[in-house]
Amino acid sequence: MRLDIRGLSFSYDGQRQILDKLDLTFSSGDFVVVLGRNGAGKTTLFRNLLGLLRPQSGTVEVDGVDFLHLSAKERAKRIAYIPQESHPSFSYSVLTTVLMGTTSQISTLASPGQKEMETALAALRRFSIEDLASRRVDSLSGGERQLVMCARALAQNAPILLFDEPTSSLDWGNQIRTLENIRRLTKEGYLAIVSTHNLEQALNYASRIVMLCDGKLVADASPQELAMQGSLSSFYGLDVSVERIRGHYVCIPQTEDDDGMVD
Amino acid sequence: MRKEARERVGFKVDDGGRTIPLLAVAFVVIFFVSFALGRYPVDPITLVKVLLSRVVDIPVTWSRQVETVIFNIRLPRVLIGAFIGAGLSLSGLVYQGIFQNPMVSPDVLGSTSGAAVGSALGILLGMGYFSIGAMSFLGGLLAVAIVLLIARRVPSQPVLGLVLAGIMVSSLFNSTLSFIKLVADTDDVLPQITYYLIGSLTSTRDSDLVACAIIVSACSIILYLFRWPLNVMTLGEEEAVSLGVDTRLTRLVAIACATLMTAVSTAAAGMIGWIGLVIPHLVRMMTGCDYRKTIPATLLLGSSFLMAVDTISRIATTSEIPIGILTSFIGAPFFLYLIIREGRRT
Repeated sequence: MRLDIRGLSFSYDGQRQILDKLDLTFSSGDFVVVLGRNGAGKTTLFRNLLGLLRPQSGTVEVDGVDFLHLSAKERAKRIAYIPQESHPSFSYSVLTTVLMGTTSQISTLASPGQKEMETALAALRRFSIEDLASRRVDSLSGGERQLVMCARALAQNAPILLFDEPTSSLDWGNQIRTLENIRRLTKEGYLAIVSTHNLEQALNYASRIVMLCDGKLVADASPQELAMQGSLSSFYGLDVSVERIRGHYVCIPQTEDDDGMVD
Repeated sequence: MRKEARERVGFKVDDGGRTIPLLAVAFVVIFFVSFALGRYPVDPITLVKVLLSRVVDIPVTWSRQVETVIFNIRLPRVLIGAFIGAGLSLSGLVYQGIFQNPMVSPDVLGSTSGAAVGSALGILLGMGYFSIGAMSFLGGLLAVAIVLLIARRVPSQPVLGLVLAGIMVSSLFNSTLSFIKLVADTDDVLPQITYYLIGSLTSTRDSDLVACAIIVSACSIILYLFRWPLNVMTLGEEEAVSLGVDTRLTRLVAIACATLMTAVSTAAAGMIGWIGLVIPHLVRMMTGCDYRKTIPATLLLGSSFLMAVDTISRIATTSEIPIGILTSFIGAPFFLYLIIREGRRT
């Protein structure tokens, strides 16, 4: 499976380019992290990939198929979306929520049957949350809710998973568990595209890091290359040194107050 | 949900398995009670015999008067009450899901006021019965469209925006209604408009019953077919699209059906408020949010509720109390209860 983004440009007002001629190619098994400062175009890129916004120019192809002109159902068969936070006005059970992932597999006027029920149950078991099946989603903790969203995406049976800042509202333990889950999914052949503000997590978990600035692609490299290049300092406008401790990248910002304080 | 799957995951919440049959029993009981109470009471056994006599050959043991009461007075009224109750309640249920807002209903969204203005304008212009119905639909649709356009301007507060826009548009349409009444002929047209919109089942005609039966039944079937996309739509546009729902089609069908049911009910019986808010809330308390369960449960509870309220309106005093007044007496305190409950949650 291959996702090709060619010359993708988007602007809300026709003047300021939020996405500026992006060219990117991703394949199965990639763990792609999209980094960018606030307003860099990460969310706009995701909204374009989901078909919620129409780009002014450029193409998006999944295995050579023009993705942007497919119906919502066909798009959903190819890309699943895991929102940052889901706070629906009506609280469904975990099982029904995960069943919603199977929507693209049934006809418009049908409702999920036994086959879809099995798919949903398998997705719940995949994340070991089958015990939560009868709980209402609004009664779950942030970490449990994130797992439900992952299970729903898995039930969708799409090869590409878009995660919008999946760790932003989680405690540290759940952040690591979520990233481990995503890594496991990419090892199974899924393509995961993850937006985040957490540089260390990007360096430690991604197989590729894409950096956006003012809608332009400024870096597309492996964590190792990025850690060596020293381009992170210019990207964030801050001196950053990247150390590797017991196989883990640690980012250390160098600020004026640091002078003489480090032993 | 299949039983074995339910057992496997330990599903304990009542998913409608018991509630819907209970509501069906309540519907049948209230249906018979509606005949048994009032100025010309008809006992259930006689009622069944008279109804069956139209289908099978049964020896006549009742007077012609009973037959006249049943077929010319009571049955049309009970049935139209059931259809209007079902239609308004289902409208509320659908609007709430589509707008991801449990506090909206046909009256909160301005749909009822819009439909009332459409009907009043139709009467003022001397239109025929079907044209008045069409005007009612267009008025309801116009009100909902204006509310949506205003609410879009308040993207940061979607719930508040929708409710406040609904209040504003309802007020605007109520003022328009007052203006129509002001310019209407006081001897002829004004009493007609007032009587038409008062919210009562007393002056409904056979043609009203036919229109309500066809439109409420057809819209209910269509909405039931869309039960799963309606579930997914409650997650909001972004998630619904990413899950593969044709959101434009679902929204169009849902708003058209809900507005059509509100309009035909308003054209038939005037402004009957609150039912579209109260019934869906009660149903969700009983069955949860899943439209696969809430649609049949809402149809049963909504129709039973209006049949019961109409029976009370007939027997409570010597002169009938318009049903719209009674539903407000029940609905307004319930709305207050919901606001307080929501406030405690947040």
